[in-house]
Amino acid sequence: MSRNSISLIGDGIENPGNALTMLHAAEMYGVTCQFRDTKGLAESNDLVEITGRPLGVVTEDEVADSHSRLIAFGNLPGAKEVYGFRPGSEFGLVVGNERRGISHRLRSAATDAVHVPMHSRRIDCLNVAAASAVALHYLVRPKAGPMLHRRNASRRRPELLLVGGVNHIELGSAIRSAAAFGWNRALIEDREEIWFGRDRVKRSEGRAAARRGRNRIRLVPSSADANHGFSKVTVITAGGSGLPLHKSNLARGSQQLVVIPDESRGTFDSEAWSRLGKEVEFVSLDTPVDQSIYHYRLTATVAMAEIARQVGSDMRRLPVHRTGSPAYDRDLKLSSDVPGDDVWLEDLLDY
Amino acid sequence: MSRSRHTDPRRVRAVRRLSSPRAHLSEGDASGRMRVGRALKESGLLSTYELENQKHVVVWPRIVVPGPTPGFYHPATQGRVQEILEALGPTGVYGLKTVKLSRHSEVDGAGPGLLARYISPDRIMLFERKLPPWHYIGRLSDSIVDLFERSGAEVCWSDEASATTVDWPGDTLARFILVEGLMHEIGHYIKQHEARARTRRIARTRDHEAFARMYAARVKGDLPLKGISV
Repeated sequence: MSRNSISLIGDGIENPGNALTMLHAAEMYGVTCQFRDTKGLAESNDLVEITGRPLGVVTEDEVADSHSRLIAFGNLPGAKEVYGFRPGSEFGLVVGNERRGISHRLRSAATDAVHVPMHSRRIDCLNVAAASAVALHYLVRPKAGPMLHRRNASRRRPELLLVGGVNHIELGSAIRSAAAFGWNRALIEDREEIWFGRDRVKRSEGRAAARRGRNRIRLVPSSADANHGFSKVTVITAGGSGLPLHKSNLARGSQQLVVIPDESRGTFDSEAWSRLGKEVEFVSLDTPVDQSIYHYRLTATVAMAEIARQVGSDMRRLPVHRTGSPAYDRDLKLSSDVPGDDVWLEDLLDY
Repeated sequence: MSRSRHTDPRRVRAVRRLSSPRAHLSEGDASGRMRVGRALKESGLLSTYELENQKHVVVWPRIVVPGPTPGFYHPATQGRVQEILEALGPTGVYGLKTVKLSRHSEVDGAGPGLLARYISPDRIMLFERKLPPWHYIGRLSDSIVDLFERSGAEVCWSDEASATTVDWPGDTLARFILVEGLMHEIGHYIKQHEARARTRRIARTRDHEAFARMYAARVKGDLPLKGISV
């Protein structure tokens, strides 16, 4: 059996849409993608039609034999953080079934286990294809360091704006990722009316992709000509010019707005981003912007993962004052914490 | 009638303790002073030193001012805080050790709405604020909008951006911090201090907060009479 240098291996993936997105994620990072097919994935005509080639199918034994280093990716006991993990130049990355995870056999055969630290207790996992892209980003190009653990990390979290989503499933997955990485609130510029629009099927499918039943993120609509007053606006794109993702400062707190535009219909070169804030900078994931393999959820999730890494996780809370001394805060509850979508009244009247 | 200093009214005790916070209870005892004065006179040393003529050296709470975080500032300056403390007088501040104009990063889990904190027994922290105008995603709650507008802020809602902008013209923000932060926390302090409670809560939080709110409102009404506008 020939040894591939780096492979992404989907173990028992059920959803052909996820399988297709995984193939595209692998293509983005220049690695091969194979599947251990236990759910009839190879029989999906759509998948073969779109890719134009048969699905690369492997058995458990072949997976175990093909790589000297096999990395299981998931929320497994003893798994290391994917940030700062150095896997070498030859490895197989195994991601598991959407519901059941990686099979026992492959977990046993794995030499390492890594995971993406989640910030949310309610949404503790990502879409499998989006998670694959995050893993490939940090394992194929291991430039970023480990996640920081510090005091008041949450105060470094920037505001998030998702712009121009074209596909409701992709946007839903991106919203799911935002909740999983710890955002309580996100602005949505719904130019195609796929989220706040009136198509009931799109609404329900998008919300299913976002795991809206458990996802308590608050989604706030913002229009395409809205002006904001942020001191720093960071636009993250898949390709194009700009700072590399890991070199930009994405943890400036609520004064910073991170914008992730959906580039599936082209780039936003003519967009006037200065309407959002005083200073605009561009950051690039440095992945190919090929419309045939572009998926918004991949770009958005990788960007959010990097923000989460830079924001870091909260250290154990230190005592604020001497033990036993009472303290009284004058703390204004500035905004409503009610989860859900903000919807304009006009939308409801037309619904 | 008891002459115990333990039962002095607060207005009497406050003046005495603010000028000599570490004095022993027997210090300044009139009977002792007379006895000492008589002895000095009898020994030929003239004692004309009168306590009434002694200039009181008042020890006000220390105001600590570390520099704010970049992008933030303290609307209520050291001078404004000192002015309010002096206006409140010994009754309001005696026993209070420090008022610190703090950074947000000094406390864990501080949200953007944290104005001030009282830490029993004798410390108050006033937190830095972002430079106005403030930009909030989503709507502010009605009670907060009402509070801001009553304090002189201009609250503006943008439908396009789904965002609220709060601007503070002139020194309205400083006044807001002094009333809703400093005076409110001094209310908490007085409640604890009057009960001589250092490490125990002497009232339910709801009652404590109600007292602090009432104190701040009453003092806010009284200060213009002393020539201070808040």
